[in-house]
Amino acid sequence: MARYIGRRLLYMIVTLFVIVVLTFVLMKILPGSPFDTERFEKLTPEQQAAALERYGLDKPIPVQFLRYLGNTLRGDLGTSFYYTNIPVTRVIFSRLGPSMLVGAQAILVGLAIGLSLGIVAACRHNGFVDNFTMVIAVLGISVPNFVVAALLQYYVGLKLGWLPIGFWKTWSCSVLPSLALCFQPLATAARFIRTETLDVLQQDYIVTARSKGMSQARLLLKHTLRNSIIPVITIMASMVVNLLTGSLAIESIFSIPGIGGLFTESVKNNDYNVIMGLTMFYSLFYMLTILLADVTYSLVDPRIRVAGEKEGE
Amino acid sequence: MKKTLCAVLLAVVLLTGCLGAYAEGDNVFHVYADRVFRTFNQVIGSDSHLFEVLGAISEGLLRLDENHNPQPALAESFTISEDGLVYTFILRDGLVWSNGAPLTAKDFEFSWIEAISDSENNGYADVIAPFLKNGVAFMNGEIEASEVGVKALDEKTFEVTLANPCAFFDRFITLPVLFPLNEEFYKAQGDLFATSADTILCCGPFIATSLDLSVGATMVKNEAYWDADSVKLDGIDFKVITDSSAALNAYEAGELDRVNLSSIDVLNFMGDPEFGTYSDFRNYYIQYDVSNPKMNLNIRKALNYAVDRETLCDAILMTGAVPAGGVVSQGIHGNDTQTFREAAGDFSYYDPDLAKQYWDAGVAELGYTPELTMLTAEGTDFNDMAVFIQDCYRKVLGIEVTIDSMTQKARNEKMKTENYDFALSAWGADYDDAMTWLELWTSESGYRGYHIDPEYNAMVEAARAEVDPEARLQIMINTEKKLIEEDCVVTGLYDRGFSFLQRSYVEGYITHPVGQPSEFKYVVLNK
Repeated sequence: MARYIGRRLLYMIVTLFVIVVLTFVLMKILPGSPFDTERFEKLTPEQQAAALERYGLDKPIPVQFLRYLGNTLRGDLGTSFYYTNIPVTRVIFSRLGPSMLVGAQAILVGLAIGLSLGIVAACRHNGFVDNFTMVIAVLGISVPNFVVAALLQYYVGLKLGWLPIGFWKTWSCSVLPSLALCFQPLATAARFIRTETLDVLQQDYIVTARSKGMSQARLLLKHTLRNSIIPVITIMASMVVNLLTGSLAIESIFSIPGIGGLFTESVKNNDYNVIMGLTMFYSLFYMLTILLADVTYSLVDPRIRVAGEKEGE
Repeated sequence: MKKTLCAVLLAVVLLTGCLGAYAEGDNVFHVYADRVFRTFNQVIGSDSHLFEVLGAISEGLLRLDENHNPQPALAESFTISEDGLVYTFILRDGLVWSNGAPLTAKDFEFSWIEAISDSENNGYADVIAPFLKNGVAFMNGEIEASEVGVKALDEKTFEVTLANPCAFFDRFITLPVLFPLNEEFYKAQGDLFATSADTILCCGPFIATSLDLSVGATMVKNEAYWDADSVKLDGIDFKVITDSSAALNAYEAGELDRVNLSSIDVLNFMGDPEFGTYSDFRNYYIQYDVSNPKMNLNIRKALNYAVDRETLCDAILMTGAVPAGGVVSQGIHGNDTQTFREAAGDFSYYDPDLAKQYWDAGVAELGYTPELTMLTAEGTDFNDMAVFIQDCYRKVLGIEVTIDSMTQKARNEKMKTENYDFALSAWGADYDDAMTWLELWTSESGYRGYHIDPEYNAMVEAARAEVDPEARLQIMINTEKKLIEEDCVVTGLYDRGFSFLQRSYVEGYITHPVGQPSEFKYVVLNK
């Protein structure tokens, strides 16, 4: 297991390097400079040259890249251009919290409701709960979350006045955005767990267990869920990354100072160091989550051995 | 599993430490910024929302009143020498910073030097330096700070020596970049200066209680402020709301006392007693590439006269924008009796017959009908304007102009490095004087249409050096006339407008067309 994880981490470094190179090149192809163009245009040519030199932007792109790589390895991600001279790590971490809170709540609520609905639906196959769950699932996947967000903001926030319509003051501000985001994981979890549970419920060992008089609850929790949850873990891994790293639409509708907005801002403003910092953060986070999901498989189902690990060795 | 989930949730909650206190209560004024703050540091900032915050928590020597005229603020009075070059400001007695330190003339000397000391980072260094004696030489690192015409003579006396006499210097120094800074505090905070309410000092009508670039600012009344009696609010809640419909929802939910409307919302609220409009000194204009052979003078003039600016403002933009008579905005100071525009008359206006004549002459000169492309930046204002102008050219000149829309950065890059036909662009005044626009076209860069004209540059220099205000005004009028009417390098379209809703109980909210856009000091809530 340790060897496996070690090797995966090594691959991750290689992947990360490729991502960094690609992002750097693509970013430099973006037209424009990170400076406030209107003001920059007013500077004399000498002042413009001095500004480019100060940030190393006068050097050829390969040199700029090596310099960036060197600084990164030393743990220095540079400073933001847009947020004048603030270190990139501080910019990112100041925006990470709100996105993570909203995302985590959305996943927890979505999973809890989605899994319950899905399992009940499978047990009452073709019954009312089943049909109801499927309608929810189809709606949850097909209605974009920003539509849900706008509706929630208008009706629950503005018309009923039950919850704040946005901003970032108290915990209650995070409820509507989390609700808006939870429908997708809810629907996905419900759909997958239902299909898998239906499948597992028809297996011989379930029929045997049932014929031996095992209670429905014990049957579901002990014998069915463990087998049916594996595909959900796969799906959820990428969804967790998406949700925790923020949604531009949701953040902008509810005025949440999150990381999704930061990413778009940074690209729009050619804020090179922030783009690079965020891309690396996203990639690392994604790869670690996938790794975590793979390791989780073997915990959920001991029969699954992570690759390369042979029994008896 | 449950424990893990709890742990994750707890960790996330801890991460979100910024869920914090806000100024609350009935007598708190709720406003918003429509984009995130880039910094709260006055030295490196140039953003209009930053100026609003700074105007609330800090103050300059003078402050603009509701008619945009400067009134004594931290300076109790000032005198001007006979030659108009030396300004001597006397500070009020007993001024203090929010940490109790005395506020002295030294704090002005330090901030003014700081403001022009680092041209690449400082938003306004290149604007301010030319006004001060030896300012430009210091900005370029050629001389020491002690040689700049900025001196604290004693605790209460601040003396400024100008490079040239300047009729609007008293209005100019209300710019928040020229507010005082406590040197000891500023240097002690280093990079952390103004990154939170704890790392900034206040001396204005309000004191910052929280500052967050992406959340906003909260402030409470400053009881130690010299004019605290005039301040009726308990505090200000200045949120960041980047989405315009979210802002409107917030207004309707009672979370904002004032909101700006986008064009699409204007029709719903016109005639509402809470509805209002105003315009500021940001001029939208057409920039021609004068080095482009197919853009000959007649073609440029045709494009100038063919745009129906009235309809553009009243039916398309609908946000209170006003038709421009040139690149110098309506309302810019001229002399004691007239604005610049009133004195100069209009150089940019709609005249379809004239446009057609020039077009025919231009085509005859070229020997063919040119295919033209209009460069424009993304954004509702630019998009709506581009489509409307395209339509004007179709109706008046019978031509089909291609619209090439890209990000602002990309458009600027293209204007700078390549040839183009014409582009939609804009410039906001840095100070209340025509020179803030006229000097732009001396740069000879692509961004200014590759306009290279020694005669024009000489006129700008002559205006800079002219001591007599009337003569100076006349030179500037002639300069703009040459730029637009004679050479048609550029042509004005409109001055930016804003439509807003404001609660009927709000009084004393002042907007300024240049510098600090809004003034909260005199706001009263008659709830």
